[in-house]
Amino acid sequence: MIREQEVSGDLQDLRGELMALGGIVETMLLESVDLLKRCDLDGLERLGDDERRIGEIRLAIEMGCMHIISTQRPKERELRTAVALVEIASELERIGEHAKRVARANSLTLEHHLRRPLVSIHHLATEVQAMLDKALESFVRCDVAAAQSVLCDAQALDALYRTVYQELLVVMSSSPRVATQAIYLSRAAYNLKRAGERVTGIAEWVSFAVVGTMGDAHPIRREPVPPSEVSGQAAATI
Amino acid sequence: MTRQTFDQELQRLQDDLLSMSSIVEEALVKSVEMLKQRDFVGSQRLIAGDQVINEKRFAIEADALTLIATQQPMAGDMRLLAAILEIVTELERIGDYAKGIARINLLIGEQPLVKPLIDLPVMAQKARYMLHRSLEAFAQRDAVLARAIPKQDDEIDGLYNQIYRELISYIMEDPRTIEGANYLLWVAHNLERTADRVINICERVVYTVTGELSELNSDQSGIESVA
Repeated sequence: MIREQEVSGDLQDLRGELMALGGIVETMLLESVDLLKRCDLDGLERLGDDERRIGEIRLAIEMGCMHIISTQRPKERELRTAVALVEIASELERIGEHAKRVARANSLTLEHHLRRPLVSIHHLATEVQAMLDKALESFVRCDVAAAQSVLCDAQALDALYRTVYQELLVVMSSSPRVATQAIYLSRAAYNLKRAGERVTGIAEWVSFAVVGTMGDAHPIRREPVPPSEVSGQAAATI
Repeated sequence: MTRQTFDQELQRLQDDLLSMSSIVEEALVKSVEMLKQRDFVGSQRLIAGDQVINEKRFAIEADALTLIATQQPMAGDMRLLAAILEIVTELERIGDYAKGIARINLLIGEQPLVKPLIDLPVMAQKARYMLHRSLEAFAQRDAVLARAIPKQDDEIDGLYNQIYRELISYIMEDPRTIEGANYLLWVAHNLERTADRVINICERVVYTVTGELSELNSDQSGIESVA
């Protein structure tokens, strides 16, 4: 009994660290688009500092979990929780990388303000942030239903991304002069979409931690190719 | 388990990792070759074959976790096992990039490519070489090699920028090429991201050997940094 309490307490501490890590990443997501909108180049450096902190916390969580697995030999659900902690921390670190890539686009779009797509990109970022918040909350509460609802949110996010991409395609074809900037922004949007897919990966790990199974949206089934964004019909047939 | 048996188990895990890397390397180069040859059957086969990579990932992960749980490894061995868990994930994701390129080939379908594929196969070969070397650095616990590999990323970034500029010039001359040019940009993007993942592997090798966290990113100015 004492051993179980010990494992549980240690995992709880690491869970707390994971939440702190999630908080930094959520802020980074919103800030990245803010920097993009304000063309704020100085802020990029700040995001670099965040990225380093994220790397350190992630490694601390990973090593903490390995230590628990190695020395306390947790069983069943606790073991799954430890594995999920490692995987979720890794996904969070990658989401931070996507956020940084979004912000970097601002140094490349200074000459032209593509306002409408920028508003849509901001919307994408807030959606991803809300999904991430929900996924992390579901981990804390061990709430599989909430985790699964993140997968539905991901479908809405895909639709939103396709809209943004279409807007940018229209910009590219109607004004080839700003095609370069539009392509940079399309990369920013794509990074947010990928961040959203990583959030669904987190939701799957929550299910794994609680019930021991993962659904169809398991991260290994996600593909890094923009599905149907250029040719919806063609993609649908594959 | 004796120290000797533990070492043998570690060696077996490492061999599995290297064998998985060979499959991923081959998939990466073949995906671009199939795009160049417009080989749809090959691309479909490659997409289906990704499942083998995914299964290998989980098998290696499970073995590594079992070893951690049953053998209580000390700091150095623990870092090694944690590195295997990290590298196996990166390999699986690089496999996804290869699959992505195969899907692009199918998406383009019977449409002709907007430009002849010359630089993309070179980019794929360079990315494959970087990946191969990073696993070599891991197998030999060679932090010096791991630190040197990311410099090769500059060549990949250079090729990416060159392809990017070329495709933009096509779009500007004829906006009808947007769709085809975008497809090829995504291929270049997947190859560039592969190199980024190789850098993650290199950083992990340095950490495994030295216990120090280091960022090995090469120059990140330009379009490649937002891709």
